[in-house]
Amino acid sequence: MATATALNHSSPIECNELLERCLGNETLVLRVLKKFVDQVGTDLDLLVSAIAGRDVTESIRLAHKVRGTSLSVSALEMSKIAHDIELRAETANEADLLKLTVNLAKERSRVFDFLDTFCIATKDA
Amino acid sequence: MLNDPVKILVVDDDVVCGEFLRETLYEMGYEEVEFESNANDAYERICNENFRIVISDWQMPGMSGVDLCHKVRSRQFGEYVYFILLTSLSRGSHLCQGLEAGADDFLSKPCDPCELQVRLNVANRIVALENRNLIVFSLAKLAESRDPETGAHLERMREYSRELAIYLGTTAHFANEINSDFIRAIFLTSPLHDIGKVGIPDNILLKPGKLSVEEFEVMKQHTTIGSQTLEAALSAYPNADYLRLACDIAACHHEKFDGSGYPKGLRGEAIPLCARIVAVADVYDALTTKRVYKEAFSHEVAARIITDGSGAHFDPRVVDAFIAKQHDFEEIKRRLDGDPSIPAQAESQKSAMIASALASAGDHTQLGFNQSQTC
Repeated sequence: MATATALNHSSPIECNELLERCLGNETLVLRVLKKFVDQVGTDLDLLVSAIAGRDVTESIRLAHKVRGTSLSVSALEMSKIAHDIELRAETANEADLLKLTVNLAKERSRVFDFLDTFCIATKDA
Repeated sequence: MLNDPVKILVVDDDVVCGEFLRETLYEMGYEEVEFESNANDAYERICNENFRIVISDWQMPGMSGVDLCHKVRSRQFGEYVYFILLTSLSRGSHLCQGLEAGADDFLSKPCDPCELQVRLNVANRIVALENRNLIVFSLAKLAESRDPETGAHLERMREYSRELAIYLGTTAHFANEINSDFIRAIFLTSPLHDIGKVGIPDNILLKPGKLSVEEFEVMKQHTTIGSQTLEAALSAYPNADYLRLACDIAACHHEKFDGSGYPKGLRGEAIPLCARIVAVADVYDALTTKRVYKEAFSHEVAARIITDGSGAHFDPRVVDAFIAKQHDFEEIKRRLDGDPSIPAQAESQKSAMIASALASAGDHTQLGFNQSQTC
């Protein structure tokens, strides 16, 4: 598979792991990644709103969801940042949380750029 | 492709995970896999469609996976729904919470296909056990085929039995005795109550008129023939708890609360609870069903006969449950008969007169009822 063989260690997605999880089915990999692109953009916007609105419960839920979604496609760094937000949503101040959210958005951009090189359209997400 | 595909519902507000799971399950050969992103919609589908396995995310907006599991467990389904909770929560307290809600297993996120396959192998083994239900019921229908005039008797009386058990399980007196396993088991095994009739000669079993004293003695043996048959099966499979219930029902469904029943003349709570429940269900169905020797009694007449038998023929607590659930009985009969075949009260005055006479005599089973009602 092109996506798996072209990777290096700085790849924002562990494609070998993802491919293995998808039972070696490249079509399934692409379909799951497309769903990921569609969903994570919306969830990240909602997470920013929840943090800005100091809605702790919703912030935790959305961070947890982004973490799970990212893990599903082996976007490990994204998942790690989302987990950090999930754990700190109750105690950290808003500025720290928004800073983490910015990091999450940056990582998402890195993931999307990576996916663009494999012709997975991310521009509309 | 699997030989015996089961229907699976995946519930997750995370469409990525849901899509991944659904597609992976297809790859594994599960052809009937559905997806819901909302637990409330999922519950409706579980109630209305025959899902045997549910794989649900834990944390979802609105109703959580644990709440969904709890809700599913609070309702009685014809077949067991195997519930797997999908979670990245790994603390012991979370697992306990899931198990207490009735979850059968857990699957960690993100799903590993090997783990998913292993978990589903377990699920399939459990679900396959439920196929015994089909065999048990087929056996009961086979026994009933020698006396086919009773129509959907087995279907009705197992539902009546379940309704009574569910209600009694909510009362303080039986709360420790009746749990969901008991309810499932009584639904499963109550149709076996008359399985011993296979050992009764045709000239007695099918006799249209009243049995002689000698014939009635032979007829009574169906209780011991049935229980001995089931005892033999229980000896071979001692861990099959449902067979114990089946034995008790076959042996004791003609015992009476005041000790005047057969075969042993057991009294009161010496009669197994399952048999006390089935006794009411069986008699109600016999009363409200048309036979060659009598018209169907109205629900009101049947209810009065059962109420009059409280403490004599029937356990008063079971009769109380019957009174509380009698509208459900009528609904079950209507549903399973496909038409409102219980005659309206005004249309069955003759039956009412007969029943009244029987009730006042104290034992309706000895006054011209054919053996089908009482044996």
